[in-house]
Amino acid sequence: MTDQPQTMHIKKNTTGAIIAAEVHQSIQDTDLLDWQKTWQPEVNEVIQKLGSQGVPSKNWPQSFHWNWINKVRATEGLLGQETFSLRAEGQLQGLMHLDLTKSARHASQSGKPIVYVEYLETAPWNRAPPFRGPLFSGIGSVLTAIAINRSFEEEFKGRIGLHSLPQSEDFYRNTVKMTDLGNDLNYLNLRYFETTPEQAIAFAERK
Amino acid sequence: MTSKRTMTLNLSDLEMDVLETLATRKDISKTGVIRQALRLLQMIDVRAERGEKIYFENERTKDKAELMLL
Repeated sequence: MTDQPQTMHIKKNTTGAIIAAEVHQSIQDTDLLDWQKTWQPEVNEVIQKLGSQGVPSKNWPQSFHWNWINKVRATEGLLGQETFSLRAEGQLQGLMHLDLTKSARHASQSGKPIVYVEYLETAPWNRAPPFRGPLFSGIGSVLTAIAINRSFEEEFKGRIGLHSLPQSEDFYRNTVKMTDLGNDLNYLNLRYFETTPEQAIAFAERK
Repeated sequence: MTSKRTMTLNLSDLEMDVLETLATRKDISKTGVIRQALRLLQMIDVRAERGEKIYFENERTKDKAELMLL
């Protein structure tokens, strides 16, 4: 990854067109402002609606409490922490935070360095109901590909790892085709997923 | 991560042995090991500066030992 934005492609669902998206290494203040002004109102509106409908909080969007301003501030100046933003059509479409200090748990890779995906989130309009989207598809895949690419660049052979929110497990298990290493009692009991080098290559070379 | 600078590193035989062993175990180059070591040392230093403590825990016995940083 360089300081120059990387051009990737996502799908605009209203037209079916494949459009260019720019991935920037490091989340800037303008991204955080957009997060605050464009993402937060939509998330808050959905949460209020679900609350008034009596939907149990366990069925609410599970990332609703993530505060990207705090997350970015906590990573500033740290060599092992990297942040990314994805923009398309002038809007902030996705955000990601990577940790490069962790090690693999998969039996065949144990102790080897990985790129750990600390947080990955797509804009609320790119999510299925109760949100109004998805207006664009492929944000999660593009950001996962960036994480895998960073892993190759750092000689980690494409190994990445992450704890998935329950609502995202299907994506990591069946789209990225990561290995599901089960629930992690030490991390909110979330399921932990990893890619082996072979799985990372398969995802990077997918059509 | 665009521009990179080169430096010469003088290590003792023992230090070089450790570096080579780590590179093999971690499946990365010796430069990669140094880079990981820098990331980890910086993280530990920053967190210790904040007043946080660092522990090693034995997974089996759950015994904890504090890593003393002077």
